[in-house]
Amino acid sequence: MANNYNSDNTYDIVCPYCLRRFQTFRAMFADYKNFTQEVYPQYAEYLKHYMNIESIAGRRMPVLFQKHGNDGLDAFSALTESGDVTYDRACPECCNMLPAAAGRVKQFTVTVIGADDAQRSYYIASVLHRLNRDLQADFGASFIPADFKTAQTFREQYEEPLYLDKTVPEAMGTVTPLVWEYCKNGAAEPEEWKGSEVRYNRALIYIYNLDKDLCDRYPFIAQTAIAHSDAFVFISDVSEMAGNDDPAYEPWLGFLTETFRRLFGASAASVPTAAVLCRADKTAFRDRKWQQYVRECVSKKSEKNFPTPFFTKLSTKIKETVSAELPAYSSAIRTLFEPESTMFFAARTFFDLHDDGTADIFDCGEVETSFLWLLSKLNIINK
Amino acid sequence: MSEIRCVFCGRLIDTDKQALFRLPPDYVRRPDAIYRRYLEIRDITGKDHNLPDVCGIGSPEVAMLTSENGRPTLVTRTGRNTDSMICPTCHNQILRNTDSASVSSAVFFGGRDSGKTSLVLTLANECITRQFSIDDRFRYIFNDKVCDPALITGAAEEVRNGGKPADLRDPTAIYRVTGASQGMKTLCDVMYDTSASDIRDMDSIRFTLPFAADSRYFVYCIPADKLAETVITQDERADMDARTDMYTMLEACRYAQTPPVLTIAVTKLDLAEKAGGAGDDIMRCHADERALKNYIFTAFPSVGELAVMFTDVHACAVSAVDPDIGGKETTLAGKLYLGLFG
Repeated sequence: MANNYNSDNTYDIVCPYCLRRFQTFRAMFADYKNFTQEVYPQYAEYLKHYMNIESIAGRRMPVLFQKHGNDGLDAFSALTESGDVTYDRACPECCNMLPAAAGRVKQFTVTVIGADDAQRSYYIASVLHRLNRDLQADFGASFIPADFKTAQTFREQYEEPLYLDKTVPEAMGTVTPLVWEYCKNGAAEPEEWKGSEVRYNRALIYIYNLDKDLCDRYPFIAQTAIAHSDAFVFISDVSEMAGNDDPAYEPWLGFLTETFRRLFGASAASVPTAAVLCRADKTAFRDRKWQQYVRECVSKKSEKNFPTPFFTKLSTKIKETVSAELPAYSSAIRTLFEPESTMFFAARTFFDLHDDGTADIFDCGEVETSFLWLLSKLNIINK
Repeated sequence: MSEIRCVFCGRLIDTDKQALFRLPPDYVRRPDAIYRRYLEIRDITGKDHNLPDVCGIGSPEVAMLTSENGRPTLVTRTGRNTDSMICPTCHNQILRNTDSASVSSAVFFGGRDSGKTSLVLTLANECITRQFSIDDRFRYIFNDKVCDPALITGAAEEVRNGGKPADLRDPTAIYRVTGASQGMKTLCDVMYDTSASDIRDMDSIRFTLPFAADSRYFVYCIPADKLAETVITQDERADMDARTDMYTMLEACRYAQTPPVLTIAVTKLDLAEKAGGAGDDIMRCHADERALKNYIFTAFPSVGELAVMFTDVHACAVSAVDPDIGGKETTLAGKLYLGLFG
């Protein structure tokens, strides 16, 4: 995580799309005042292998070029053919456009993994929507999409389904990450030393949403994303596994164990991991008294109706469920991730599913705690 | 070294090294691929891209480069002079008095039917009808080739009668002359209208709005009736739309050395009166910038959260249908123009 002092106080760039690492000076530049309708072979290859798209012939693309010698500009800008200055950069390996801050700030990869129906997309939508809204007030920092492409993807695939259509977002696991930028207000430097540890005032965070289907289709890409990860969010649908003592019943966990063994050997991964127990409330529903209470609250369709003491009790109950009813599951998670790097979060989300597939969704405002914990472990926000 | 800014693509040109000239009009005309590309990108139709060749220092037609009245002039080998300097990037003509200190530009953003084009036309027409700024410090002058007063007045009249004007694909450039203490000083104010097709995706923002990165002012248009409705309903979709618009603006100025000043213009103020209680509130607070800002941030919390990314934020209200709201002497449009360009 240390700064890369060998390249003029810049960081190596990790392309969020192909995950290849390269030095800042190798980035290509885009001339947006000059375009071509030819597809670059690297980009065609990326589309074919990563996106399963055969051809996008006829699409207008900016002309990409390598910086010509010493043009008197720094590594983040170059002169175009017509003598204009451009700042837009692209990955030399896959020709995707890089975020503006790439190479200037530390880049982190956070992988959200879980079974196909473990509500990963619900988690991502809810967490990013809340952090986008609240981080400014709570931490004096902005946490926003790093480019317009991410803003569009997040809105169309995550935010709109959850907050407007009131359905559980079902964004496909994709190799295209959500690229978010954290920026602390008024910070002069991208990083600073606080005592013996570094604190990042600016950072790029690549968020990957990986499911088993994606891992089956693109094993190399999924494994690369997992291997590059600086943090994991491990999502489990507790209601699916309650009462089941055999962790092997879930093929996803088996697959993940095998992948981790291949990547990290026998030792557990030491990167911080938030184990989020989605729909943990469902396990508590077996208690009839609570079940009745929650139903009443849900029927009033307002999260304000959930009083805090009730959830404190509920939280205790969920913890008990995790420790008492799911020991095998808990143990399986801990064999994948070192105990001190793992923290369990009971993301208390409520789904009232209808026959037509829509759902009333209520969350209690704490779903983002797990992501904030990860950001603190990555030295981005205060512990 | 003198630097001039192309008002069409926003490029800063070093006239000593990068100046290009178009040969006089009677030279052979050929298709100009670069100019055609500009027309394609901005979706401009009806302009001829068969033009005399472009030449610069080192071209075979060029004999020498001189200066006439302080403006670079090219002398051809046949002894002809041309001072038609053009931009190397888009091959549009470079206007006079467009050095980087003299040009101020504003880009108008907003959702569909938010009144961007009407606002640009109203501001330009205000300059035509008044001739002098509301504080009498400046006189407005128009160059018919880039900003035809007759066309603007006609379009503004159409707006007042409830018509919907076509998007302005070319910039609207207005000169301001002031009798400063050390001789006359000329300034050039440029307004860029945007349309929904300009902001489809990241590539289209970069292709069609290259001038936005160097613009000092962004104007974000919110219709008064929508504001009045949203403040009551607290509609999440409206807030998300506003956030997407804010992201668009941030993307457009991502590489700017200094983020632009954001002015949030509440347009279609005349409709506020018809919008019931919340509309009455807007009418009451439209002259008080602080109250209006609070009102906007209540309706669209995302705008308030992302506004910190800009150098400064202002708010104002304006009506294209009834530009005289606020009084004949100090119209809201006049105040907005003064607030934007000084």
